[in-house]
Amino acid sequence: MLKVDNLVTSLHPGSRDQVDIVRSVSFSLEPGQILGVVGESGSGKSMMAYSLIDLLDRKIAITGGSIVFNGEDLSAAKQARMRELRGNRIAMIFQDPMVALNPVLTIGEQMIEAIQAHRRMSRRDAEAHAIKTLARVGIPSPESRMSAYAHEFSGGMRQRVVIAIAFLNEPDLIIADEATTALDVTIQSQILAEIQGLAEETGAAILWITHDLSLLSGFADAVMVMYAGQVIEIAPADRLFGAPRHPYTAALMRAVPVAGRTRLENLEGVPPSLADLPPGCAFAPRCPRAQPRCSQNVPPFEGDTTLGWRCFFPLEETP
Amino acid sequence: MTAPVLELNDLSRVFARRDGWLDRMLNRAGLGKPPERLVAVDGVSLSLRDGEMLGVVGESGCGKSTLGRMAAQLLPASGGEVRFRGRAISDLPRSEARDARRNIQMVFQNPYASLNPSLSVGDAIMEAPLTHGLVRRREIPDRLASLLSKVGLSPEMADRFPHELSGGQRQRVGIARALAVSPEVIIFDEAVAALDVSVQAQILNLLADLKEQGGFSSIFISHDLNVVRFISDRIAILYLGRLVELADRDTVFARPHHPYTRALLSEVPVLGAARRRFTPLKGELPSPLSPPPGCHFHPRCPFAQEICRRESPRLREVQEAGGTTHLSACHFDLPQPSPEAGPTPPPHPKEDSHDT
Repeated sequence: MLKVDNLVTSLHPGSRDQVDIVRSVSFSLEPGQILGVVGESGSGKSMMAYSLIDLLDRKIAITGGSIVFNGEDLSAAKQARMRELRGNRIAMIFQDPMVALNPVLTIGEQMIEAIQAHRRMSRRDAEAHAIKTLARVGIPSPESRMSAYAHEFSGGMRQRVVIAIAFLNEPDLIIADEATTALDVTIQSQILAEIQGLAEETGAAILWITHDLSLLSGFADAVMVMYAGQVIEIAPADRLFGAPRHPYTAALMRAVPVAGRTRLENLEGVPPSLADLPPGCAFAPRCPRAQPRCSQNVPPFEGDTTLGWRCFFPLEETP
Repeated sequence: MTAPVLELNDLSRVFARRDGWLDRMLNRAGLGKPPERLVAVDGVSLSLRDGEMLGVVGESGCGKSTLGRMAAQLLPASGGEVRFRGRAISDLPRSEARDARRNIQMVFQNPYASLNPSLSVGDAIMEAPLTHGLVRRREIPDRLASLLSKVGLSPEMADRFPHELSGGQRQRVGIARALAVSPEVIIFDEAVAALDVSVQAQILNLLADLKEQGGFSSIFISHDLNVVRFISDRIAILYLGRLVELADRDTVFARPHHPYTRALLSEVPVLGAARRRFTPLKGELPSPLSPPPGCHFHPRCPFAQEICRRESPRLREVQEAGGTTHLSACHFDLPQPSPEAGPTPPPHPKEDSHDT
């Protein structure tokens, strides 16, 4: 359904200051699948997602690779075509629902607008469809909430409204960027449950971007770990969490406080600046397993888009 | 017996909205509504033992930060008192109150906002000890070097400015600044919440080391149960301004008593968990402006009975004989769910209320 092949996105493309911020990312997504994308600040996870739907800043552009969505190459698509797709076949959920929602329109008006922008539907039918979708994401008394404004909802309810809007046109792909990061644990749990249910029911594929590794382990089908703009490991979730192959994935997992742990992984240093990358593997300067070879050559990606890693000396398959 | 280093006695904080001119006119005419009151902290009592780290956990609006600020004397209490070494700080003469305040330091979530951008790291750290007359000028270089090394920073950092530091380094400076006045109590308010996982791990390790070295007791405020579990000796759980459970760390995780604590524990994402269906707690967090009557948790509680709607449960000791103090504010002693069975089904179905 979605196939991303060697995607490269650059800052100041074509100039002397060109910096690649997404570096040769490949993956694919099937209907109903939840793919988690995890990485620390500056790993390129959000920029990768924005590249897919052409929501990039003017100084940033796709400079390589392809994005094939339902058989159509999006990296070559015109802006008008992207507008048709966004909010219709591809929807997006951001961290802050207050930014996504229009403060001066009622929730109902925004939802009807989102339906009628992409479909020929009477106002009455659109309204009925909007109410049904609000109910589906767990908004109580949806009929009366249609005439409410964004500020009249609590944070969790507001994010549900955004999710309802995302699912309005039954999209094939939903991209969520830190969609539950600002929410409390019990509310986050509710939202994750809704998303799981909706993905199953509607067959929408979900690309779930987060910094929270723990969240993905009960939620995602597959996980992709990013570092310095590259995918350094991708695997089915149980496999990745059970036996990570890349030293960065393993280190990240050991840095998470879990029961019984009295010491956390001290991963020294910080990720490299993308403008000034080390010659070999980007993780080599911090890697406990690094050999001379790692700081000379960039390791190629081993495996395919469902299971693979980018390391000369991966960890054993069974720890 | 010596008094605990820090005691919070029945501490409360009420925020009232200040009336606008229209409200004042209406009030004068006898038409006004009673002013909106937000009870951020509602009669919380905690005492801090020597050398321990007490975790305070809760979701937004539970009053954890307000509690921390009152404990650090940054916010006056509306009711109750803060006692330092057995004496209420508000009753102390000026110089002793000042000394008590020096002894209770705070580390904040966002070190960038709490550091003066025009002060070098060295000046920021040494400002308070100089003000309090704890060091002489000529002792500064040595003292600074030892503080920096204590928080894992190199001595050259002393000349840097906040904008030149990474988030993790800034938080280390925030910790060094708190340590600089040799306080007996440090209050960490979401001190690792804004950091990336790998940096968060570095700071948590540092805090564990500092705790091990001793010299201070601390309150660690956080929304993140995994983090609190790693660092704390005892854990207090707050819900809408009230203390609902308090026990040793391991007791809280092995035998949580309050239904809210149980719900919270089951919702926390756990690394390595198998793919699962989330079985969330129903309902939203109620607004602290109009908390539900009785037990604040009853609208979301799967075990709520009639009494829960009417009567606010008092905090009582629930631990079996021989154990350490385990307090919980629930009317009932619910059976522990078996780990395999998942959540226990509610005793009888209840209506869906308070959802908005």
